[in-house]
Amino acid sequence: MNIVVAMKQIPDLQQVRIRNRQPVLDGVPMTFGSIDKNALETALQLKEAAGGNVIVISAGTEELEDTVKEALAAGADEAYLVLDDELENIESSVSAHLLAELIKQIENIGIILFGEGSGDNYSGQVGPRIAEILGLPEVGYVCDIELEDSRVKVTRSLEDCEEIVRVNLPAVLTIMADINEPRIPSVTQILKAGKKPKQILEVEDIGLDLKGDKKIITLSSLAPENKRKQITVKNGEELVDALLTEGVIRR
Amino acid sequence: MDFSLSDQEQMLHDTVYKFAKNEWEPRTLEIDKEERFPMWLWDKFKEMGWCGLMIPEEYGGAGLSLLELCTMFEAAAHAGADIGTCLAWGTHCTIGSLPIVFCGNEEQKKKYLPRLASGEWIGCFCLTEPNVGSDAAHVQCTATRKGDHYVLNGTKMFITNGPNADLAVVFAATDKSRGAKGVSAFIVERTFPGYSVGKRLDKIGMHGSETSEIIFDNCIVPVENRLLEEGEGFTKVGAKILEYERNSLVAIWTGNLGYNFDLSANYAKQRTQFDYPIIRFPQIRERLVHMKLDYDISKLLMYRAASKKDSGKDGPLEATEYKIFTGQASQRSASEAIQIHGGYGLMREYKVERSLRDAKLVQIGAGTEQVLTELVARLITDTRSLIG
Ligand SMILES: Cc1cc2nc3c(=O)[nH]c(=O)nc-3n(C[C@H](O)[C@H](O)[C@H](O)COP(=O)(O)OP(=O)(O)OC[C@H]3O[C@@H](n4cnc5c(N)ncnc54)[C@H](O)[C@@H]3O)c2cc1C
Repeated sequence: MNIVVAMKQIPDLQQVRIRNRQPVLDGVPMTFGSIDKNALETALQLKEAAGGNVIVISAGTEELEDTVKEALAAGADEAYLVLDDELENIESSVSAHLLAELIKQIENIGIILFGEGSGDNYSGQVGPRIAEILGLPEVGYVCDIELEDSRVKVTRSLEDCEEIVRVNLPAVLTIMADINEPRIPSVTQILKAGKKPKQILEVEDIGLDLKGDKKIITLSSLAPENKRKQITVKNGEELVDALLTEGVIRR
Repeated sequence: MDFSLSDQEQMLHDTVYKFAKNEWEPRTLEIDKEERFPMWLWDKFKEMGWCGLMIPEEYGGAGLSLLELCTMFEAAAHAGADIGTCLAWGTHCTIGSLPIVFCGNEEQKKKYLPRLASGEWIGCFCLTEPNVGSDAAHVQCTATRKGDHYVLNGTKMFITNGPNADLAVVFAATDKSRGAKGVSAFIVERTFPGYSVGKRLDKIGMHGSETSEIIFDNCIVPVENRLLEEGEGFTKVGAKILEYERNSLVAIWTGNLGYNFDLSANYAKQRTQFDYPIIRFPQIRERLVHMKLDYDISKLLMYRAASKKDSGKDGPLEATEYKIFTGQASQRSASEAIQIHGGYGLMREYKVERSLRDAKLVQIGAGTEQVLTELVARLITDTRSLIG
């Protein structure tokens, strides 16, 4: 059984600095969204439990060919990629079409995993859209997966309850961030990553027309302004008074 | 001639850089203040397979080349990992394990390498003594053969990882009359009777690495724990390992040159005086250029020395030149980084002052600058100094 994990390349958010309220993206390396890494970890654990192959799929700019090594080093067996510098800031519907075409090239798929939302836009649309395109069942908010022959038992984490459902395979599952703690690739895995197979396609191979209007244009992204104020207090009482005056706490 | 890293080297670099930047650098102030080797970090190293970097795969290591190892140390320090912790980690991976990798027999390798590779055991290297530093061939610590074991007596000084090590590679004289040719090397477990950790040493910097004396008081070491033959400790084991040490641990300081530059360039863009970011002032720009030059040259010398060694050739000149240059560059770079930061540079919070405290060791450990300069002079002129 092949377990497919869709991952989106984004700038490493931990390394983005803010200058004049603007994010500084210069020199910030690319990585995968953090929930995507949870999805990959889920796939690896399923593979460890039941065997199979973990295949990462992704569409993005040329840098993706490098970024994907991170997933291969973490334990994915293979990668299917669409590379094109036109693929910057594409909109969820376009991503869904591209990835669906990639998925069609993979045989014997059991589970297709997505993070609940990407690390940058968090639209949460790509998983459900792909399920629709491929005519597969889809389960969201997944916090636990148990394999049962040709089905999976899936726990969904809803606002004030958990729901347990069974779904026939193949199925699309979008998973929650707290499902697991992604592993850090070991040195030996890194050494193997470079030799793992990668299938690389171009947008033309997929027969999709990337129209300009399918792009998301960011008009502004401003960090909230931090109002800093320093107040010196001598004791606990003064601290409480100061916090009350500042409106941080109320009686 | 291609100066770029291979795909694999680049990936090792990026993984280490990212980890160090995100999980290690943010806690360096705390590591520096606590003056303890951060065991929480060691636990992560174990998970990531960072404890047996140059130990062959068959003994549980990663089997990296020297260049790959250097690349990892450089990447960590460049991302802001503290030199102290890198030194403790590097000591374990090089002088704490490589004597067994290069000079151990099959039984010694099978017994000790897997434990060092997994990180279950930490290694250290005991050559220096209170009265024996640069003149390391004349160790006073003795090893007397008694049937199937040796009895070790003496004190070792300045031992990195001393307080935490489970295993020590120890140099002791088996025949004092033969000088360098009378020194033998032993694998000594912490639990062997007569082994004890002496005084913990209070240092200017490198606070993430713990340093202490190690005391041997009638310490019993089985004969099978001797590396190579009697009398080959200094001439074969020591000579081989010290060249690797010079080549590899220095990469930590190379990375630190990059860190100093990055911090200073960022600061200079943000700090405004006389209505302009200070990076616009020619004197700041010039300092930054020289810091970057030092970093780049050190890195190129590192590539040269490590690739020569990886190609199977000895490179005493390349390794020594690399260490001398990086030692001097480290003093300049740390000092200039503070200068660019002005008063803030002296504040611990801004992190560049730590580079100054950590810089000096690279001119002293594993051969002082003077001793190494004489070595280079001999190699390039084929003459000897009047004295010494
Ligand atoms: C933090 C730290 C960690 C260390 N870790 C270890 C370790 O893990 N294991 C270990 O075995 N050792 C370790 N050392 C010891 C280190 O290798 C020695 O400090 C170093 O070899 C120098 O010896 P010394 O300090 O006794 O100086 P000395 O040899 O006493 O030198 C004093 C001065 O005299 C100069 N000098 C000496 N001989 C000559 C000469 N022939 N010509 C010109 N000048 C000369 C030196 O350059 C120096 O300036 C560590 C040291 C430190 C500070």
